[in-house]
Amino acid sequence: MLAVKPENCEPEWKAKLSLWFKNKNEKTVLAQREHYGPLRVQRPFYPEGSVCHVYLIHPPGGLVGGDKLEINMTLDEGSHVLATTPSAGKFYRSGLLKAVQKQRFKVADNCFLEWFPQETIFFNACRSELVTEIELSERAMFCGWEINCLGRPAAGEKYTEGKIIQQMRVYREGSPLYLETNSLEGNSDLLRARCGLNNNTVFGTLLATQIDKEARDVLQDVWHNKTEKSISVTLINDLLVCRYLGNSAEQAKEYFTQIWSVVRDKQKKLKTCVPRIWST
Amino acid sequence: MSKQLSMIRLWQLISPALPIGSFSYSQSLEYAIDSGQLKTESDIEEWLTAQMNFGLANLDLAVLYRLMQAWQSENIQSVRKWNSTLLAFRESAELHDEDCQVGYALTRLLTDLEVEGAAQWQRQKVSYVTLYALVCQRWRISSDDAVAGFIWAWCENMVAAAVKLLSMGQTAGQKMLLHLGDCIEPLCRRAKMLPDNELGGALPGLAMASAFHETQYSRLFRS
Repeated sequence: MLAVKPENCEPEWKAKLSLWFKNKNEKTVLAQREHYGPLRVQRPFYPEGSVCHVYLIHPPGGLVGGDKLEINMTLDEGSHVLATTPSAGKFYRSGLLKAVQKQRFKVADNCFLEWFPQETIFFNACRSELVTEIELSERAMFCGWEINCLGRPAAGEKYTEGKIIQQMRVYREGSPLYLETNSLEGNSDLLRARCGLNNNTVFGTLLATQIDKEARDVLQDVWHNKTEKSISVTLINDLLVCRYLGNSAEQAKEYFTQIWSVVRDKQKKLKTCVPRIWST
Repeated sequence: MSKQLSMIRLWQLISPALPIGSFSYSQSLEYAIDSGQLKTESDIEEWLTAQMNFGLANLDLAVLYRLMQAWQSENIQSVRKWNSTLLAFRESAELHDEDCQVGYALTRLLTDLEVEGAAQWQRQKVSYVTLYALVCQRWRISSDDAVAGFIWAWCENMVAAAVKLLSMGQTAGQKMLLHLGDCIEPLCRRAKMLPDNELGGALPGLAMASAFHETQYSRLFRS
């Protein structure tokens, strides 16, 4: 594939990746791809037969002020894609310019997108915008999570200055189904407030469509009865919303993976197939 | 309608006596107290201050300004857009259902009071904020007064819940209202200026407490 700058790409976009998936002989294939700048997709894997597993790669490893990244995925014709990233996303310390990453996924009827990126680390003094927009057709299915880490506590770096806007926006047939905006300034009381982040550094949301009350009850029973209250479960209409609030991205991933096994069985009667790259 | 009459209408609308059932919700305050997260009056005041500054200002109030504008220009498409945006931002089933139930109760009431344009919302999911904006527009209440009245009514309702839950004295409740009242002016100014791409105001701690409240064993307040 040629690294040609697409005509409709604004000059400030540093990198753009667009992927189209469809079904071919009962198997989801990556039918078309376009990329510009340092964003890549590895050759798809098929560890569970028909489901297409893809790893999205950003070789520079992180964004600095002035960077803009765009990732698009379109699922058509009954395709089933599991997309992940091989390592944590990073927003480095920025100067005056903000860094922007926009992800837009379109999922057609009878298609299923599973979006399980590794965590995003927001360095102190970053100025970041991370937006994930998911457009679902009436009978499209989605499960995905995003895990966000503030600063690098292990290196003694707290998030005390900067600005982060992190959004998940899910639409069904064009109207909003679920919207979430985390708007976090480095010196904000929101980071300390008990109804805010309560001094935690890691927060995440898992969303899954087409979930019923029975599955919600199972999950609430497990997670709401633990003494350590780091996972909450709620069902808004048929959308499952699980939240993590704590201090470990590893723990968030582990808990979300456990929830995923209940969710995947409900959505597709499938056992989970954990991407191998997570354990390396 | 004279300015004074508009003000009197606003008082009627934000009175705790308005029969729309807001008093039966605590917006997860009940769980936060029951679980021991909030023990003292100052814990509660801090919780409510953060909730209004980061949650309500960035969502309900910012969208209320937009809805007032939309009703003023009779732009129903815009009203629908902001209505569905508000409901999609609700962070738990409990908060979502509360908004719809109070919204429905207000719709019924305004229909009975023959407020033009209310009746058609009876058969769809409507946020309380959407119909509140409608009636403020019909009663010629200015956007700034409508927004200040909205947040004041919320403060009164939450402090009443706190008084019940913590067995606080009435005077302590009034002191808390003085402090919360002090925040209203700057907070409304911020809400008015908020750009579309920053709308939202997620509160992870509150969202989780609200989900936990759904499975709390015994409750005074509705889930």
